[in-house]
Amino acid sequence: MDEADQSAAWVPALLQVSDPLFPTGAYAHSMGLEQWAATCGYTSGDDLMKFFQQHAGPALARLELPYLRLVRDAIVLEDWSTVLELDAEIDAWKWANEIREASISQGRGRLRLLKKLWKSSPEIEIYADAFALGKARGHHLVVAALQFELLKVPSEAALMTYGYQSLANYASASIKLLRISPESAQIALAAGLEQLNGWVAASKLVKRESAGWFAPAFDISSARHATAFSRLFIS
Amino acid sequence: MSVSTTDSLPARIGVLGGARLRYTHAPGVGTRLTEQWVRPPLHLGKSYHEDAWEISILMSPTAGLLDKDLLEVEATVAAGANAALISPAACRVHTMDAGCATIRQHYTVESSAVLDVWPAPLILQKDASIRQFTRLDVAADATVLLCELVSPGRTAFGEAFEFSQWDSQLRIYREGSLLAYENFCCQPKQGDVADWRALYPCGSYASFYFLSPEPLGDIIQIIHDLEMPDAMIGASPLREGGLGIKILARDGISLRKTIFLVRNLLINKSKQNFPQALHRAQTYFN
Repeated sequence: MDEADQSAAWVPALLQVSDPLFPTGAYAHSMGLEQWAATCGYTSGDDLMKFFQQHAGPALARLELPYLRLVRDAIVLEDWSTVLELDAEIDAWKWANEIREASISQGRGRLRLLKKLWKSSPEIEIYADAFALGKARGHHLVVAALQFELLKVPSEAALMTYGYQSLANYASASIKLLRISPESAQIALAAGLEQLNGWVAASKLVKRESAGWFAPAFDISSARHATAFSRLFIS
Repeated sequence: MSVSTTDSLPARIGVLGGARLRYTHAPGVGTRLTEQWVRPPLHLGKSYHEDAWEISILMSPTAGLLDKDLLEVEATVAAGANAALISPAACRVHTMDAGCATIRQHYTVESSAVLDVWPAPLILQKDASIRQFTRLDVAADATVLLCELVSPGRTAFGEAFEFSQWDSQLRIYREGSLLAYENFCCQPKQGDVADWRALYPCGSYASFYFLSPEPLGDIIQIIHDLEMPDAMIGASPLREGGLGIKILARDGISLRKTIFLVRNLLINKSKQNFPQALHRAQTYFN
């Protein structure tokens, strides 16, 4: 195997774990979009693009991707106390209960399958044990960081993949929520992905003490989803 | 005579105000402020005593906060004590050429104690910068109502979201375990808080944390069912008890009305005897 082949050896496994076929239950969650779309009266692919531009992208750049990077850095250093500390911090900044529980549910699902597929991974074993003992929260960001390290996905590609999955999940939910065509959702997703490189680059500059994002109206709407009269998604 | 210019003025030295307070419970007497240290421009008014509570009024008689100003408040409510910290006047963060003002708060609420922190709004004026650090350490069986109000400018004059920067970090620990963490840097000129501005272009914001050993029951549904045409309220349970509540309102009056309603619901839920004097003391809401 030449060097070029080796450098891409992580791709098939990454495609597997990133595919919607990988059963983490993400399809059942809109991660706040359902109530927010109703609050704002979203009806089109343009609205979804606006959502990416004003909320999803900046939240990735300033909060989620920095935490993904920080957790992975701690895993590389085998600094498990920092991994658990970051996991607890993620739990504490996920203000809306449904979003917090959605993250744990997806993290738990991904962890369970990673454990079955890569039985010999000590990192997965350590974190799964901590989760079983109630010392880890099991947030999706943390499990994703474990997965990217396990598969030796280059840092930039890992951040891009996580960003893609987040935006794609919103795009997928938008087909039902906004009643837009799959083509419109793909056009909006493509517009979001055009900016993903910039959001990933910005995320690398964010230190732990300044990682954060403030969107009070979105938070309120996410909280209200829990008691909404009717809804399609769990979050 | 030559006219002096601002270039020749010495750099402004910030004002460092603060308060360190400790409330304790004495059987047969109730709660008393047993330790206090206050540094101007903060001023501690004469306390109210009612129903075994001590209600303290903390004010800054100066016009507000300027570049390099620092306010530090540290308050401990010892086991079994009931205390309220009220600031009835809005605190303006003034226009600054550079730099920022800082507010640090640290509250500790021990076993079976009650703390109510109920301030008037922080007004973020044009080109103002502020950093806030808030920490709350609370025992599992303590009750806390921690409230924060923010106005994005002198909205009555059409000024909104013209401040430079609002940084805020809030950490809540229950029995040493991190329960809630907020950390953000908000710069409206960079497009931040688009969601808030889209909903209420001149609207105000309030945040509550309600910690109580009492079961929440259906309080979230009740809060969400409040009919407030000019306000949006979201309540969400914290891990292992308690609530976070966020409110956005079209204007200051709507915000006050909503806060009043939400406070009354939370006070009922707490099963604590919050005194009437609290409402008399918090004149901003009267």
